[in-house]
Amino acid sequence: MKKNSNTLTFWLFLIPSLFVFVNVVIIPFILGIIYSFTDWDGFSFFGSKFVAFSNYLKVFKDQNFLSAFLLTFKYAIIMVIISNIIGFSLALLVTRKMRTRNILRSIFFMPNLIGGLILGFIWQFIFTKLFVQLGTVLHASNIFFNWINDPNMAFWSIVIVSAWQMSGYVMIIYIAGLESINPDIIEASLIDGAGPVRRLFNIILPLTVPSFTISLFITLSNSFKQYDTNLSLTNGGPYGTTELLTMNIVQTAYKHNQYAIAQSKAVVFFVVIMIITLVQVYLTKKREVEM
Amino acid sequence: MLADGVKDDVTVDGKLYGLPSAVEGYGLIYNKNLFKEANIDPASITSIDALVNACEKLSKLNGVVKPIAFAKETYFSFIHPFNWAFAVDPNYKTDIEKLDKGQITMKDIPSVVQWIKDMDRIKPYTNNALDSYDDQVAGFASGKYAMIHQGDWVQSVLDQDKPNFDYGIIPFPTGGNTKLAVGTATAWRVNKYATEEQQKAAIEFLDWLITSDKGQEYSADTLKFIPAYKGVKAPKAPLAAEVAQYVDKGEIIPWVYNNYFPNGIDVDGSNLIQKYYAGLIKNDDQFLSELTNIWVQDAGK
Repeated sequence: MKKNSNTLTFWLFLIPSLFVFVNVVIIPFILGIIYSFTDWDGFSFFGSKFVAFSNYLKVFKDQNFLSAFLLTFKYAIIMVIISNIIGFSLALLVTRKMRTRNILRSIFFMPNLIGGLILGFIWQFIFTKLFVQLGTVLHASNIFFNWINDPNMAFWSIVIVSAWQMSGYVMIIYIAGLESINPDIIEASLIDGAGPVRRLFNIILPLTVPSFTISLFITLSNSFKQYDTNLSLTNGGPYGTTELLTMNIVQTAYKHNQYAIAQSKAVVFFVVIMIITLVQVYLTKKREVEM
Repeated sequence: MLADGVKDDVTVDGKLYGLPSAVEGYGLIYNKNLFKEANIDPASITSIDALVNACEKLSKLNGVVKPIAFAKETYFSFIHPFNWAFAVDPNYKTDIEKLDKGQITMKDIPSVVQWIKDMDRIKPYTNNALDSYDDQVAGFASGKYAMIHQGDWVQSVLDQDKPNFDYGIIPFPTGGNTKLAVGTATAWRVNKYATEEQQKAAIEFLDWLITSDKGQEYSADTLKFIPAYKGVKAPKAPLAAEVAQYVDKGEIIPWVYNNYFPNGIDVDGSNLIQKYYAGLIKNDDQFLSELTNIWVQDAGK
């Protein structure tokens, strides 16, 4: 009897979130896959024809899509490396015995509380106005110029802003990982005479691999899905050189009005992210140490 | 009486489908004080030579960074400036039709070839379309730019900035053009699914708004609509009043992009023109063939 009422409560609590999940994720996802095989024009689905794989063929012939794909790969790899290194270093810093550690944690986490869209606009001001001013004041206009108008630096400006935002988030995950390490092990290593470097590589890193699994997964999938900062900071410019994958999909749908092709791009995008993240989770899971 | 040029926006096969609520016009908005200081008569700018001469004089003035500024947003950097090329072409409908089908290229349309030649001439005097819309208008208000390529919609921004000079609007003189590009974005329509009574009331209301004195006053002074009709009261704001004058005289050419530009050309074209400003396009030939490519690609989808 008791067990039955527990299952009932379980399902009752699940219903609201399940309802939302099915309606905003599962159903659109299935519909999206169906749309990608038709010539749907974005309005009435009734009357559109089944076109098999012709949308997908067009997708792989689209030069802009392929270059956006490459750029997104480059972006994701750079982002994963930078934000995890910074995030982990910050975590190491704020888990030391310092007075300011709580304030520092809040400061580093703060960028995450502001949406990427707002961050983009704030940093746009810094890159376009402050940098130009700095350049004239410091006579260093070869470093401080309007970064947003330079194809190369515009890309790096997105990296800087997003890394600044992401690092604080993964820092929290690493803090949790670092604080769950049994202090006895650290103490034992101290008694055995391990230096700080050795302690980091032989004790701390192996024991925080579970945090790495999560953090790498989050940074990887979030970087692939980057849209808001890209939109507000560079909007794909100058001349389309910083157009990441999601932006390319949005442009295809809402600017070129090719909804079915955009949907096919989204499906390709989904499959690629899924494969990459699954491989990543599998590889890092293998390295986790059970205590 | 509906003004010429906006008819296309609200009719299909000669049948009227809506009443334009207002028109907007764009061209080169210029700083009258700077023009006076440089001793330029704005009415004399009826050719690119005259515009280039004016730019030369303006660039020597104190405080003027660039004589002309374009904004970098897709419509401001590409669609509006490029619209001139087709708007001055009397055969733009058949030309665009042939272009869409790939029968001709941009190089076969004289007004387009002329337009890019004209752009080459004024390019050194522009800001290379690197400013955002806000920066462009702010730059105009502070006297940094003597002219901006914009429409009467900047009035509300200028009203806030309160520049200490007078300003007006002139057409972009590509190929000797002297007409302003005027079009409409919205129109009044009566819902045929409403009850008959409601439909009657709606038509009565529109009659009142457009034909009665009270309605016209309301339309001009409260809504600040520039009338899409000849002989109807225009708002008092400087830019709107000048645009209304052009409409009244019939000195207007259409917004071809409203009905005849392919989807997505705003993004692709704006990328192309930004490349052009950045000096990545070698010559007019390359520009026109790349433009033809993206046009045909966008039209074909």
